[in-house]
Parts: sequence; C-alpha cells; structure tokens
Amino acid sequence: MTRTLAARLSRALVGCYPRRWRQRYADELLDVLDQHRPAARTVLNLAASAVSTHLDPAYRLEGLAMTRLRRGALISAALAAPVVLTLGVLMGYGAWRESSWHPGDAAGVTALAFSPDRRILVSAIGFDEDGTDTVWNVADPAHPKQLARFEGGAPTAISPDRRTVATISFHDQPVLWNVSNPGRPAKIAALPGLPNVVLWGQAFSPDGRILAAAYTSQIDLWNVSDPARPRRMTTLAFDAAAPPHWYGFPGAIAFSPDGHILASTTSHDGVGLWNVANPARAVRVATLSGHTAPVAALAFSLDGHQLADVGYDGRLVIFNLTDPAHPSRAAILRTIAGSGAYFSTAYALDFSEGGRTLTAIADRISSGPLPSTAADETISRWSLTGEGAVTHTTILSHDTTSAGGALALAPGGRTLARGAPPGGGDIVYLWMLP
Amino acid sequence: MRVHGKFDDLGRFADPSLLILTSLADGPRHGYAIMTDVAEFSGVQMEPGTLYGALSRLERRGWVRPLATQERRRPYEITAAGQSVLAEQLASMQQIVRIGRQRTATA
Repeated sequence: MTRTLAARLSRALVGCYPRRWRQRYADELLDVLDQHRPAARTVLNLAASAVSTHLDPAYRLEGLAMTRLRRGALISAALAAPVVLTLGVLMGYGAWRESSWHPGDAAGVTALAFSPDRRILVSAIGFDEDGTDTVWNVADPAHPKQLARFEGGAPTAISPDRRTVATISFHDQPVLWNVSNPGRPAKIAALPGLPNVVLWGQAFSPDGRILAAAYTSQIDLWNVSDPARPRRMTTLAFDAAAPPHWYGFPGAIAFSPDGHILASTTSHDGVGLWNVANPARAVRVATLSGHTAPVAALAFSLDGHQLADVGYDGRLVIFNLTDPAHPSRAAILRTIAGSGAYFSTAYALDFSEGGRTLTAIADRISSGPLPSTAADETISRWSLTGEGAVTHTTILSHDTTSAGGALALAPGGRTLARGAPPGGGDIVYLWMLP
Repeated sequence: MRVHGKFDDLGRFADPSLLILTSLADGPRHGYAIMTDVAEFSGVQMEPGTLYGALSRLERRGWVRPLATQERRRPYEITAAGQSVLAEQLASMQQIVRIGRQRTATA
C-alpha cells in the first residue's frame, strides 16, 4: 500500500468512528495522522479501533462502521473493509479483551424508555436505522404483552397519554411516532435537527404539550399539542463553551411534575434549571453543581421540592428545590458499592411516589490491575426525611455477574428494565424491586 | 532499546494503557509526543488508533485528564488516580519479574 493511499484511507476511517467520539477526538487524531506518516498497519489498526469503539457501551446508540460504509460515501474504504475487518480484529491489541462484550453478534438492547404511568415500555434492539423498536404493555409486569414494532431509532420519551413515542434518528433528528393503534405504528413527524450536533435526549412535559429536545449545545422546546404540526417555541442556550470531554456521555433531562421547571445536563459537571411556565419566555433560574463528571440521570420528587441527580463520577446529590432559584444540597451519596478505580456505564434513579425513598441503579466496569476488568451493578435505596436528608441506606443488590445492557427505572422506582448487552440477544429483563 | 517488541502481538506485554500512563508520569504530553516517547523508552510502535482508543478509555476512567489545546494539540496529564493505578501495576510487574528471574535462574 502506498503512503498516500494509506494516509487517505486513515483519514477516511476517522470518519467511521461514532459521532460523539469524533466530536471529541477527531481533530486530535487527524493531527497525529498528519505527523505520523500512516502505513498499512495504521489503516488496519484504525479500522479495529473504530469497530471496538462502536461496541463500547458509551457509544452504543450509534451505527456500526459497516452501516456507514455501505452508504457509498467512502467507496475505497468499503472495498478494503472485509480485509481490514478480518485483520483488524487480529490486530486489536487487546482492545476486545478490555471490553466485557464479545463482538460478532451486534444485536442487543440499545435503549429503553417507560411511559410516565409505567404501563408502556419501548425497547430498541440493534443500531440506528437497522434497529427495531418494540412497544410493550407492562401494566402487569409479570405478563408483558407486545403491542407494536417499528423501525425508528433510539426511544427516549413517551408522551403522558401513551400515544406518542419520541425517538432519536440516525441523523440526530427528533422523530415522533404514533403508537396509539398497536397494529399500525406510524411516523407522525421528523423535526429538523442541528447540523453536526448530537441529539442525546428528549422529554415530554407532564401535560404532553411540550417536547424538549436536548443537544450538546442547546435545548429546543417544541409545541407538540398537535404532534403532526410541531412548532418550535424557543431555544435554551447552554453555557458559552462546554468543555469537549462532555461529548462522550449521554446526559439527563426532565420536567418537574408541575411542568414549570426543566432540568438538563448542560456541561461537563452542571445541571441547568429553567423556568418554562411560559415556554416562549423561558428563563434560566439556577445551575446545580456537585459533580466531577457529567450528570447521567436525574429525577424530581413528586411534589417537585427535591431533585436527585447522579453523575458518571458515581456520586448522587439530592437538592432542595423548594425555591428553584436558590437550590441547596440536602445530601451527597455514593451509588457504587466497594471502592477502587472504575468507569461507569449506566445509571437510573427515581423517587418513590410518597417521596420518602430514592432508588438508584449504577452499572460500572471496575478495573483491577490492567488490563483485567469486571462489570458489576449496585441497586441502592435511601430513606429520606421530607427535606431530603438521608435516614437509612439499603443496598438492595450488588450483582457482579450481570451488567452492561441498557437500563430504565419505571417512575416510582419499583420496576427495573434491563436490556441484554450487545451480543446478548433481544432480551429485556423486568425486575420488581421490593 | 527494544524491550519487548516481539511480544507486541500478545497485547498484554505491550499494554497501551500502561505505556501511556508511564509516558505521562513525568509530565503532560500531546498525542504524537506520547507515541514517540513510548517508542523511545519501550520500542513499541503504537499506532494512532490504539493510542486514541486507550486515551479515551483512560480519560473516562479518570486516570488521565485533557489540558487546554495548545496550537491545535491537546496535551494530557496523569491524574492522582492514574498515578496510583500505575504504581500498583508496576509493583505487580516487578513481582512477576522477580519470580520469573528466580525460576529461570534455577531452571
């Protein structure tokens, strides 16, 4: 392979990494390639690295490299792909071994979402546009019934009337699906996305009239009273320059139960609060801080007086929001049993209906001496006073055998849905917590 | 000096995370500087894909942290957690070396 061909292929392969990864590292990697004078082994090594990055849980909502290659945008890379993939796997430098999942079978549950009344669960298998969404009736969690299937991307939110599912398309567009007729789910509308900006989350307001679409740079508020004719009401801007290392992580977004406050991850360590009582004139009222990593999940108590958030640092913070403009920290908790170095992969949490307990699930990959890794999951529950102070901590389970799939905790914190990890098949496990 | 070049394809003997942490132990370096430094002290020719795969995992584990970009290049520095992981790993390797030496000497 000539040097110039290797250089061209190398640069093309940088485009095959997941989008979130590219936003953070592509410039640096291209700069290193400029200095490095790529050879054939550089190309093979990049292909292997790109594939293993796609199998990484932090990027699992994204498309496989092959999906992108099939689009014809990188024809030369596509011709080389079978060879590159075969040799690349052999040259993976132990990258596979650092992941607890086995490549080969790409199927696995990539996203899960409960309806606010926890009667409906939507699961997605596979990646992006090759993936399939399944709507389940889980009103009786012991006897779930399949209602509908459609090909719609990652489900992120279900409207309070259970008629509409908001998904994230391959192109980072918010898409609305009508699932009220189980036999015929239908695409209602695809909202315009932002060019080259990752859409990572969505939330419906409690009255179902507003859809908040959260990007890494801003939140768009859409009036979806008539889902077939969504209207953009306003855009909520984030802090001037969020450090780029936030981009590897999906954040968290939620409306308060009265619909007046919107809370969202806005930076590498902060959660922004907006007063959206009048959505067209939404104003930022406060920033919640208390983490050293992005916030992965958050929940309001039913009376709206408390907000709990958990960051990828494994820390859980309860804020008193009696006056949303002047939030105060009521408690700082650990969600992970044991100690040692780790990196976390998924979190879910919610308050009980009476607001007197808080349940959190934390998945992580722990690291002993390099390069061995082990995955585990901790389910914790805290008893709270009315002000959010903790009176009692219970570890409901600490499981060292299963972790890694998508997670969702139904409102109220009693039903846990856990998807099989990539390679684990199309299985969703429903757990009733005590 | 080429310490363990012939073990490259076994992965474990050329663990990229360990090499990167070692490279950053005496101060911050940007991507290409890590590659050349690693090649110099270990003889391992690390490719950019391996480098950035390992760097992004190390960053997520909180073992290295990115610094502000300087002329397009972003230096990385080792964190306190990264230093203790490196020390732990080096101690375990030292143990392997000690036992290995003993056994090859008596064999």
